[in-house]
Amino acid sequence: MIKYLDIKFFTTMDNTSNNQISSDNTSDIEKIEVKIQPSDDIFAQQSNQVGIEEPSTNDDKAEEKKSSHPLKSSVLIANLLKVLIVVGLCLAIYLQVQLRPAMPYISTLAQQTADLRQSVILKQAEINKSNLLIASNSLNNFAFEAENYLSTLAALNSKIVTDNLKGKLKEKLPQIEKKLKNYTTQASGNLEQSDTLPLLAVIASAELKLDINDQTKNSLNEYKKELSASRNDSNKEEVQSEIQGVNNVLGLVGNSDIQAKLKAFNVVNISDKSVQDLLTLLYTTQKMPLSNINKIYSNKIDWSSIIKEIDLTTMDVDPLYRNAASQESIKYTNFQLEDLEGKDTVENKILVNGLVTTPNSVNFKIISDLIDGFENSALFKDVSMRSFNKKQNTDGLYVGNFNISFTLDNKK
Amino acid sequence: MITSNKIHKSYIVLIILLLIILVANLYSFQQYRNLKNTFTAFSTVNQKLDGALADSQALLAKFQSDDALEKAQYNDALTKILPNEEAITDLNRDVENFVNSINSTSNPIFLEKISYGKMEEDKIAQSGIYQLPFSMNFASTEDNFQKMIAYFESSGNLENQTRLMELTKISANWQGEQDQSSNIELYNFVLEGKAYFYNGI
Repeated sequence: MIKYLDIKFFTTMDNTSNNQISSDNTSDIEKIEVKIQPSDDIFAQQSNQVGIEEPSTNDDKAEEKKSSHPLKSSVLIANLLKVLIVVGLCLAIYLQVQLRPAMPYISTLAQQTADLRQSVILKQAEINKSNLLIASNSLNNFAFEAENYLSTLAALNSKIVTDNLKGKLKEKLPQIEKKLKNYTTQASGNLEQSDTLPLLAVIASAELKLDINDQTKNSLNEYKKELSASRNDSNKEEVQSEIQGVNNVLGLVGNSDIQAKLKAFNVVNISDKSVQDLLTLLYTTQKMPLSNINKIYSNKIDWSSIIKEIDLTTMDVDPLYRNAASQESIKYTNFQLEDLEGKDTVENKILVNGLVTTPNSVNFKIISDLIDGFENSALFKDVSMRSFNKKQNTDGLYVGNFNISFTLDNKK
Repeated sequence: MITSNKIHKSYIVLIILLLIILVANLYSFQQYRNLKNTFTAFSTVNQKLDGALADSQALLAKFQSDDALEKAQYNDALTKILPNEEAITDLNRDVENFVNSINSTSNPIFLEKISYGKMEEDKIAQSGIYQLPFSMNFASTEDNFQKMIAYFESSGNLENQTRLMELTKISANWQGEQDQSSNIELYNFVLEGKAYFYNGI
């Protein structure tokens, strides 16, 4: 309506100048004139100009025809630009909405992708959990068989094992080796699957991998809670063993070191060294039940060797030692491992207590010889005794107590 | 009258505006395309994972079923070596059985007394490992004394599957006393040590 009136306005202006008012709507036109005149819509004005109705001559018409083409194209281009801008803005809004991670009432592409990512993480974490449980159990089995393998080899090399028994043990070896191969291959395969995420090659990223590892740990911790909740008097040993297993699996999540070592393990030529190396690695890096046992077992004091060495050293110092008929000799009362609380390592400090009885008051000499004898032993070091005493008993013999401490140079 | 200059200026403004929108849209579209690709990849992987998940769970079930016998054997050995509680009664039986097995008229040994202290967590191993202090009094020949020492030393071995124990103190009175029935000289000795158990929950 405005455009139409606008056109009329220009027409009227021209006609007015020629005193040829062709319309009766003079008052309307004047009203509109006030409205339209300040218009900045240049393209609207052009549009109006296109519609100028001017009584003209043929020459004028030709001129008008000539000049109206560029004007028409300008309007078309302008309208096209406007349409493009509107379309562009609509597209921009659509894209921004789709890129937003959350919008009320709308499921955006970003939201859908995030949901799918979470679903992938959950599923992959469950797959990892299964793979790691298999790997962990295989490593556990490997540890048991490795101990079996090493003790069998030790027995085969032992001088005190009979040939008959050695023959039986030799027959066992190939079967143990086969099991060792199977367990390492199985563990390696399952660890690799949980580490490389073959299905996720397209979308694999460090961040996604970390998220999957975190979810795997969460899933395992949930599993642990479920196991704890199901524990009762009848199944507590099985449940505890399972929980120990899950603790072990937790140590495998994202542990590429073990995987690398397992890959490096030569399953073709199994040797006591390769088995021992892998076993040591497992014991030091995994919370395996056997690793705890091994830790305590390997720190145990070899009392037999210590008592034997004490006996040999004492016999050198006192020829009457262990002579039941003689009262005049060294007699031990106890051997004690000193408890070093608060230390991370066992220092193996040994305390040896006893009595020295002599007829001629050479107790301090004998005790000093004993201390030097211990000091010269390859088994002991840091031998110490700092207080000496002796007294005469009712039989006229000289009796002195000794309390010697030392540490072990070599464990068994 | 509208000049062509003014028209051109307006065109330029419109074109610049359009260009800005275009560039912004190109950037957004690039992001959108990347997101769409990620969506497609996740969607494909998500579908494939359904199958992989079922496969892995089936594999785990099969492994657990195949491994059940060996696992039970290992767990049995493990529980003997490192029980889940103090298990004092089992320890009494084990030690007494061993003492009786080495006792003979020509080489006697007699277990006179066993007493236990209060359990505490092991400071070296930790990880739920507890130690139960014990003290045992014996009267025996020197040969059986050595056997008892060896018994505690080799405890915790998978071969003999005995409970993990460690001696911390050996007190011996080498003033032998004649056994009234056999006339064999017996020595009194006390072995103190720790028996281990695991309680990881």
